[in-house]
Amino acid sequence: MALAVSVGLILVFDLRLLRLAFAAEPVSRIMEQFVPLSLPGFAAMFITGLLLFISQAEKVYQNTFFRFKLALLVLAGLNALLYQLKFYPKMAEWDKSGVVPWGARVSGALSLIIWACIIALGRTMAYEL
Amino acid sequence: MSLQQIWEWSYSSKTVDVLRNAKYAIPVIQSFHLFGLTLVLGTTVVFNLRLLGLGVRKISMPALTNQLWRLAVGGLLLSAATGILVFIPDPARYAANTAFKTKLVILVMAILFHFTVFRKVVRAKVPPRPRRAALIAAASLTLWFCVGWAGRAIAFLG
Repeated sequence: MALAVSVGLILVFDLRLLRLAFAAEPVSRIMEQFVPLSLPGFAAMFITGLLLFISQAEKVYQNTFFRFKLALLVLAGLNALLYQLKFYPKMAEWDKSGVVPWGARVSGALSLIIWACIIALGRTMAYEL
Repeated sequence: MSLQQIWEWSYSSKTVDVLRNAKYAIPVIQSFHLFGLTLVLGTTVVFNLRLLGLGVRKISMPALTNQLWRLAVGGLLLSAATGILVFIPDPARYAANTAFKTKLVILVMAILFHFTVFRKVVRAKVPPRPRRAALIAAASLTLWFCVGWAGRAIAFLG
Protein backbone atom coordinates (compact mmCIF):
# COMPACT_ATOMS: atom_id res chain seq x y z
CA MET A 1 0.00 0.00 0.00
CA ALA A 2 3.01 2.21 0.46
CA LEU A 3 3.34 1.81 -3.30
CA ALA A 4 0.73 4.52 -3.73
CA VAL A 5 2.50 6.97 -1.44
CA SER A 6 5.93 6.37 -2.99
CA VAL A 7 5.63 5.59 -6.70
CA GLY A 8 2.20 7.27 -6.87
CA LEU A 9 3.72 10.60 -5.87
CA ILE A 10 6.96 10.28 -7.85
CA LEU A 11 5.01 9.72 -11.03
CA VAL A 12 3.20 13.04 -10.56
CA PHE A 13 6.63 14.70 -10.65
CA ASP A 14 7.70 12.59 -13.66
CA LEU A 15 4.53 13.61 -15.49
CA ARG A 16 5.31 17.27 -14.76
CA LEU A 17 8.80 16.90 -16.25
CA LEU A 18 7.10 15.56 -19.36
CA ARG A 19 4.51 18.37 -19.22
CA LEU A 20 1.74 15.78 -18.99
CA ALA A 21 0.43 17.13 -15.68
CA PHE A 22 0.52 20.51 -13.92
CA ALA A 23 2.07 22.16 -16.99
CA ALA A 24 0.91 25.52 -15.60
CA GLU A 25 2.85 25.09 -12.35
CA PRO A 26 6.64 25.52 -12.07
CA VAL A 27 8.57 22.23 -11.86
CA SER A 28 10.22 23.42 -8.64
CA ARG A 29 6.84 23.80 -6.95
CA ILE A 30 5.67 20.33 -7.97
CA MET A 31 8.96 18.90 -6.75
CA GLU A 32 8.80 20.69 -3.39
CA GLN A 33 5.12 19.79 -2.89
CA PHE A 34 5.14 16.14 -3.93
CA VAL A 35 8.61 14.62 -3.61
CA PRO A 36 9.06 15.03 0.21
CA LEU A 37 5.68 13.32 0.73
CA SER A 38 6.97 10.26 -1.11
CA LEU A 39 9.87 9.72 1.31
CA PRO A 40 7.84 8.07 4.13
CA GLY A 41 6.24 5.93 1.41
CA PHE A 42 9.65 4.77 0.18
CA ALA A 43 10.81 4.16 3.76
CA ALA A 44 7.75 1.94 4.37
CA MET A 45 8.37 0.11 1.09
CA PHE A 46 12.00 -0.65 1.96
CA ILE A 47 11.21 -1.80 5.49
CA THR A 48 8.32 -4.07 4.50
CA GLY A 49 10.27 -5.30 1.48
CA LEU A 50 13.23 -6.17 3.68
CA LEU A 51 10.94 -8.05 6.09
CA LEU A 52 9.43 -10.04 3.22
CA PHE A 53 12.94 -10.77 1.93
CA ILE A 54 14.35 -12.07 5.22
CA SER A 55 11.30 -14.29 5.73
CA GLN A 56 12.51 -16.40 2.79
CA ALA A 57 15.84 -14.89 1.82
CA GLU A 58 17.43 -17.99 0.33
CA LYS A 59 14.54 -18.68 -2.03
CA VAL A 60 14.06 -15.06 -3.00
CA TYR A 61 17.76 -14.50 -3.65
CA GLN A 62 17.74 -17.26 -6.27
CA ASN A 63 14.79 -15.69 -8.07
CA THR A 64 15.74 -14.12 -11.42
CA PHE A 65 12.85 -11.65 -11.28
CA PHE A 66 14.00 -10.53 -7.83
CA ARG A 67 17.52 -9.93 -9.12
CA PHE A 68 16.23 -7.88 -12.04
CA LYS A 69 14.00 -5.96 -9.64
CA LEU A 70 16.97 -5.12 -7.40
CA ALA A 71 18.99 -4.02 -10.43
CA LEU A 72 16.15 -1.74 -11.52
CA LEU A 73 15.82 -0.30 -8.01
CA VAL A 74 19.50 0.64 -8.20
CA LEU A 75 18.89 2.10 -11.66
CA ALA A 76 15.93 4.15 -10.36
CA GLY A 77 18.20 5.47 -7.60
CA LEU A 78 20.97 6.34 -10.07
CA ASN A 79 18.47 8.07 -12.34
CA ALA A 80 17.22 10.19 -9.43
CA LEU A 81 20.80 10.91 -8.34
CA LEU A 82 21.72 12.00 -11.87
CA TYR A 83 18.76 14.38 -11.86
CA GLN A 84 19.84 15.82 -8.51
CA LEU A 85 23.42 16.33 -9.69
CA LYS A 86 22.85 17.50 -13.22
CA PHE A 87 19.47 19.23 -13.43
CA TYR A 88 18.53 20.22 -9.89
CA PRO A 89 21.33 22.77 -9.34
CA LYS A 90 20.19 24.82 -12.35
CA MET A 91 16.47 24.18 -11.90
CA ALA A 92 15.72 27.78 -10.89
CA GLU A 93 17.11 28.95 -14.26
CA TRP A 94 15.41 26.57 -16.64
CA ASP A 95 12.22 26.52 -14.63
CA LYS A 96 11.81 30.26 -15.21
CA SER A 97 12.14 29.82 -18.96
CA GLY A 98 9.35 27.23 -18.86
CA VAL A 99 11.37 24.76 -20.94
CA VAL A 100 12.39 21.51 -19.26
CA PRO A 101 15.84 20.43 -20.57
CA TRP A 102 15.57 17.31 -22.71
CA GLY A 103 17.84 15.41 -20.32
CA ALA A 104 15.46 16.09 -17.43
CA ARG A 105 12.54 14.92 -19.58
CA VAL A 106 14.39 11.72 -20.40
CA SER A 107 15.04 11.29 -16.68
CA GLY A 108 11.30 11.68 -15.96
CA ALA A 109 10.34 9.21 -18.69
CA LEU A 110 12.97 6.72 -17.48
CA SER A 111 11.69 7.01 -13.94
CA LEU A 112 8.13 6.18 -15.08
CA ILE A 113 9.29 3.18 -17.10
CA ILE A 114 11.66 1.85 -14.43
CA TRP A 115 9.04 2.04 -11.67
CA ALA A 116 6.41 0.36 -13.83
CA CYS A 117 8.90 -2.45 -14.52
CA ILE A 118 9.73 -2.73 -10.80
CA ILE A 119 6.03 -3.24 -10.04
CA ALA A 120 5.77 -5.89 -12.76
CA LEU A 121 8.91 -7.74 -11.64
CA GLY A 122 7.82 -7.64 -8.01
CA ARG A 123 4.46 -9.12 -8.93
CA THR A 124 5.91 -11.77 -11.21
CA MET A 125 8.61 -12.99 -8.81
CA ALA A 126 5.94 -14.33 -6.45
CA TYR A 127 4.92 -16.80 -9.16
CA GLU A 128 8.41 -18.27 -9.29
CA LEU A 129 8.90 -18.85 -5.55
CA MET B 1 -28.24 -15.07 -20.15
CA SER B 2 -27.61 -15.19 -16.44
CA LEU B 3 -24.34 -14.08 -14.84
CA GLN B 4 -23.61 -17.72 -14.05
CA GLN B 5 -23.96 -18.63 -17.73
CA ILE B 6 -21.70 -15.77 -18.76
CA TRP B 7 -18.94 -17.04 -16.47
CA GLU B 8 -19.43 -20.59 -17.67
CA TRP B 9 -19.29 -19.50 -21.28
CA SER B 10 -16.16 -17.38 -20.79
CA TYR B 11 -14.57 -20.08 -18.61
CA SER B 12 -14.80 -22.59 -21.42
CA SER B 13 -13.79 -20.18 -24.21
CA LYS B 14 -10.46 -20.61 -26.01
CA THR B 15 -9.23 -17.08 -25.28
CA VAL B 16 -9.68 -17.50 -21.57
CA ASP B 17 -7.99 -20.88 -21.77
CA VAL B 18 -4.90 -19.16 -23.17
CA LEU B 19 -4.95 -16.69 -20.25
CA ARG B 20 -5.31 -19.50 -17.76
CA ASN B 21 -2.48 -21.58 -19.09
CA ALA B 22 0.10 -19.03 -20.22
CA LYS B 23 2.67 -19.03 -17.46
CA TYR B 24 3.07 -15.30 -17.06
CA ALA B 25 -0.30 -14.02 -18.27
CA ILE B 26 -1.78 -13.54 -14.80
CA PRO B 27 1.24 -11.84 -13.17
CA VAL B 28 1.59 -9.50 -16.16
CA ILE B 29 -2.10 -8.56 -15.98
CA GLN B 30 -1.77 -8.12 -12.22
CA SER B 31 1.16 -5.77 -12.77
CA PHE B 32 -1.13 -3.46 -14.73
CA HIS B 33 -3.74 -3.96 -12.01
CA LEU B 34 -1.20 -2.73 -9.43
CA PHE B 35 -0.16 0.18 -11.63
CA GLY B 36 -3.82 1.24 -11.78
CA LEU B 37 -4.04 0.87 -8.02
CA THR B 38 -0.97 3.08 -7.63
CA LEU B 39 -2.73 5.81 -9.61
CA VAL B 40 -6.01 5.52 -7.69
CA LEU B 41 -4.47 5.33 -4.22
CA GLY B 42 -1.74 7.84 -5.00
CA THR B 43 -4.16 10.50 -6.19
CA THR B 44 -6.55 9.72 -3.32
CA VAL B 45 -3.74 10.28 -0.81
CA VAL B 46 -2.84 13.59 -2.48
CA PHE B 47 -6.46 14.83 -2.49
CA ASN B 48 -6.92 13.88 1.14
CA LEU B 49 -3.68 15.45 2.33
CA ARG B 50 -4.73 18.65 0.59
CA LEU B 51 -8.23 18.41 2.07
CA LEU B 52 -6.72 18.07 5.55
CA GLY B 53 -4.20 20.84 4.93
CA LEU B 54 -1.34 18.42 5.64
CA GLY B 55 0.42 18.63 2.30
CA VAL B 56 0.55 20.13 -1.21
CA ARG B 57 -0.76 23.36 0.31
CA LYS B 58 0.83 25.54 -2.37
CA ILE B 59 -1.28 23.96 -5.08
CA SER B 60 -4.93 24.90 -5.14
CA MET B 61 -7.63 22.26 -4.91
CA PRO B 62 -9.05 23.22 -8.33
CA ALA B 63 -5.57 22.77 -9.89
CA LEU B 64 -5.19 19.37 -8.22
CA THR B 65 -8.62 18.21 -9.32
CA ASN B 66 -8.07 19.54 -12.81
CA GLN B 67 -4.79 17.64 -13.20
CA LEU B 68 -5.19 14.51 -11.07
CA TRP B 69 -8.85 13.49 -11.31
CA ARG B 70 -8.32 11.99 -14.78
CA LEU B 71 -5.36 9.98 -13.46
CA ALA B 72 -7.61 8.53 -10.77
CA VAL B 73 -10.32 7.67 -13.30
CA GLY B 74 -7.75 6.21 -15.71
CA GLY B 75 -6.20 4.15 -12.93
CA LEU B 76 -9.60 2.88 -11.83
CA LEU B 77 -10.54 1.84 -15.37
CA LEU B 78 -7.19 0.08 -15.81
CA SER B 79 -7.56 -1.75 -12.50
CA ALA B 80 -11.17 -2.71 -13.22
CA ALA B 81 -10.37 -4.02 -16.70
CA THR B 82 -7.32 -6.01 -15.55
CA GLY B 83 -9.20 -7.18 -12.45
CA ILE B 84 -11.89 -8.72 -14.68
CA LEU B 85 -9.16 -10.40 -16.76
CA VAL B 86 -7.69 -11.99 -13.62
CA PHE B 87 -11.16 -13.06 -12.48
CA ILE B 88 -12.53 -14.77 -15.60
CA PRO B 89 -9.98 -17.58 -15.97
CA ASP B 90 -10.83 -18.80 -12.47
CA PRO B 91 -14.25 -17.41 -11.41
CA ALA B 92 -15.23 -20.23 -9.05
CA ARG B 93 -12.11 -19.81 -6.96
CA TYR B 94 -12.65 -16.07 -6.55
CA ALA B 95 -16.40 -16.34 -5.99
CA ALA B 96 -15.72 -18.65 -3.05
CA ASN B 97 -12.98 -16.44 -1.58
CA THR B 98 -14.06 -14.39 1.46
CA ALA B 99 -11.38 -11.75 0.94
CA PHE B 100 -12.51 -11.31 -2.69
CA LYS B 101 -16.18 -10.93 -1.72
CA THR B 102 -15.24 -8.45 1.02
CA LYS B 103 -13.10 -6.55 -1.46
CA LEU B 104 -15.94 -6.24 -3.97
CA VAL B 105 -18.34 -4.88 -1.34
CA ILE B 106 -15.81 -2.30 -0.12
CA LEU B 107 -14.88 -1.46 -3.71
CA VAL B 108 -18.49 -0.66 -4.60
CA MET B 109 -18.73 1.51 -1.48
CA ALA B 110 -15.43 3.26 -2.30
CA ILE B 111 -16.46 3.97 -5.91
CA LEU B 112 -19.87 5.29 -4.84
CA PHE B 113 -18.27 7.53 -2.22
CA HIS B 114 -15.53 8.70 -4.58
CA PHE B 115 -17.88 9.78 -7.37
CA THR B 116 -20.47 11.44 -5.14
CA VAL B 117 -19.36 12.99 -1.82
CA PHE B 118 -15.64 13.02 -2.61
CA ARG B 119 -15.99 14.34 -6.15
CA LYS B 120 -18.20 17.13 -4.88
CA VAL B 121 -15.82 18.21 -2.15
CA VAL B 122 -12.70 18.28 -4.37
CA ARG B 123 -14.62 20.31 -6.95
CA ALA B 124 -16.21 22.73 -4.50
CA LYS B 125 -15.16 26.37 -4.78
CA VAL B 126 -15.25 26.77 -1.00
CA PRO B 127 -13.17 24.33 1.08
CA PRO B 128 -15.14 22.26 3.61
CA ARG B 129 -15.03 22.96 7.34
CA PRO B 130 -12.13 21.14 9.07
CA ARG B 131 -14.41 18.66 10.83
CA ARG B 132 -16.18 17.71 7.62
CA ALA B 133 -12.88 17.53 5.74
CA ALA B 134 -11.49 15.17 8.40
CA LEU B 135 -14.55 12.91 8.21
CA ILE B 136 -14.45 12.75 4.44
CA ALA B 137 -10.71 12.06 4.38
CA ALA B 138 -11.06 9.33 7.01
CA ALA B 139 -13.85 7.65 5.02
CA SER B 140 -12.03 7.95 1.68
CA LEU B 141 -8.67 6.65 2.94
CA THR B 142 -10.25 3.81 4.94
CA LEU B 143 -12.35 2.66 1.99
CA TRP B 144 -9.57 2.71 -0.62
CA PHE B 145 -6.87 1.21 1.59
CA CYS B 146 -9.26 -1.56 2.66
CA VAL B 147 -9.89 -2.32 -1.02
CA GLY B 148 -6.12 -2.71 -1.44
CA TRP B 149 -5.63 -4.81 1.68
CA ALA B 150 -8.59 -7.05 0.96
CA GLY B 151 -7.22 -7.51 -2.56
CA ARG B 152 -3.84 -8.53 -1.21
CA ALA B 153 -5.55 -10.91 1.23
CA ILE B 154 -7.21 -12.87 -1.61
CA ALA B 155 -3.97 -14.78 -2.16
CA PHE B 156 -3.67 -15.65 1.53
CA LEU B 157 -7.24 -16.29 2.72
CA GLY B 158 -9.62 -18.93 1.49
